[in-house]
Amino acid sequence: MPSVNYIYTAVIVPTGVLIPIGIAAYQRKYINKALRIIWYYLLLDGAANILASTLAEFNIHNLPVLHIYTIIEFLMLSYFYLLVLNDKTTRVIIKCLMVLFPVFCIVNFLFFQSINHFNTNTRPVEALIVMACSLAYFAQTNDNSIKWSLNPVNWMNIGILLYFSGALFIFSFSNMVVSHMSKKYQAINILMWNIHATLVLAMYLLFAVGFSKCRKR
Amino acid sequence: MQETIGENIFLLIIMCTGGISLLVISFVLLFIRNQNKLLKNRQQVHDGEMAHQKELMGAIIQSQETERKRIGQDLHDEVGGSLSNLRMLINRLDNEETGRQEIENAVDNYKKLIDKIIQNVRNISHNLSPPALALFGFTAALEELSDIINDSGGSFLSITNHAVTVSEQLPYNTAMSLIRILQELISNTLKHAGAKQIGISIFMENGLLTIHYTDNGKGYDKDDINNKRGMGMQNIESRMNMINATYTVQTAPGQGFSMFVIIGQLL
Repeated sequence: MPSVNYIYTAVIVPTGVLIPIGIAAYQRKYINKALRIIWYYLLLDGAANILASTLAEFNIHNLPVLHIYTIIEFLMLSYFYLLVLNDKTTRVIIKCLMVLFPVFCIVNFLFFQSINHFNTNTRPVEALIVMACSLAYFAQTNDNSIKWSLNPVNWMNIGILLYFSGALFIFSFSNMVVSHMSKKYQAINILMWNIHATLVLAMYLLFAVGFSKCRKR
Repeated sequence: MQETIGENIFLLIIMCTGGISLLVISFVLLFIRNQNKLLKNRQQVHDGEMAHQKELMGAIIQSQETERKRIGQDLHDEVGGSLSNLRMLINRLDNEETGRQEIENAVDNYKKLIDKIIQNVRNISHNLSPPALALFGFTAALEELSDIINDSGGSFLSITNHAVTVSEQLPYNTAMSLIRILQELISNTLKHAGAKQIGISIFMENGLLTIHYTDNGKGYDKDDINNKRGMGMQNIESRMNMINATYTVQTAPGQGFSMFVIIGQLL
């Protein structure tokens, strides 16, 4: 009988991705380009989870999936911010990063960190870049003339900020906690990954709310 | 050693994650509150402006209606009455047996009556649109204004124009609006202030055309809202808006009335 924790992190939260996907599919007519990118991101997330779980079932190392996933996740989110941010300098910076970061990731798993370990060099960097973009968007919408909660992109932005900021430390130390783990601390380890799963779920729910605000204005 | 590291790391991670999440959540909540406040303020300002515009529109429509009523009344009383008279007289001539002398007298009467009708129509149309402005210019229109006031007795209007060239070059619409504004001010003075002296002076100040209107009447309380609506000040304000002019008013009960109008066009 799999434990509650297992059910939570490996079943409930990954299936939770279907909530925003479903709502987005329902609102498909009103979704603009930027929101469509978020939809694809969610589909990617779901697919990666399925792939990782399947590999785990067959006892194949599934961490390489994470490395590739990090690259694609970054490209999608930075393209999303490219679509919603207006400042010229910021857009130039993002475009540069869209080239530099994948190179950095590939260099990282070829020469620095084994592809079978957590990518603790690159994932926190990705988190910081995405957080910066998110804050830039907050700064941009500071003087809007429509009610804040009616803009779906605002909700996406909060979801992204919340997840990446909360998971930053988890990403940074993910290798270390695995290697230094002894039986005693397994509970705390599981707690940590539960927290991560909760953050993911929170992000999904915020995305779902964002998609639901997509009515014709 | 390894175990201490392990314990610390977990707790650290959980604390930091909790800390950052708390930070982010409070940031987002504060941000939302700020946004809503901004929006509410903006909405209030917008509503206030809309209400003011509506009031101005109301005043304009009201004055149009009053004007139409006046025209209708003037036409009916003066022109209509005289034409009816004329008709009756011609009827009488038609019916009676009249000799040559009587016909000549009658024709004389008719001519006088028709002249009177023509004069009345002329007066009414002058009131509607003073031809002096279009034909002879701003200064002439001002003189016509002062003639009408001074001839009727009761009050004395003096006009001094130190900026003749500039005022003659005003576009027609601006000149027309200024004449109307002055007419309105004069009408207010005559109706409410009971002033004996009215002064209008026109000069240049800081490169802008300025008109100073004063009267030595009763004055009124500027802050009283009733005064604003009843005295056609809203019409004056609308006209000022249209010609891009600003104005300041100084008045108090018992201290007369003084208004500066500055036309904000570079001439």
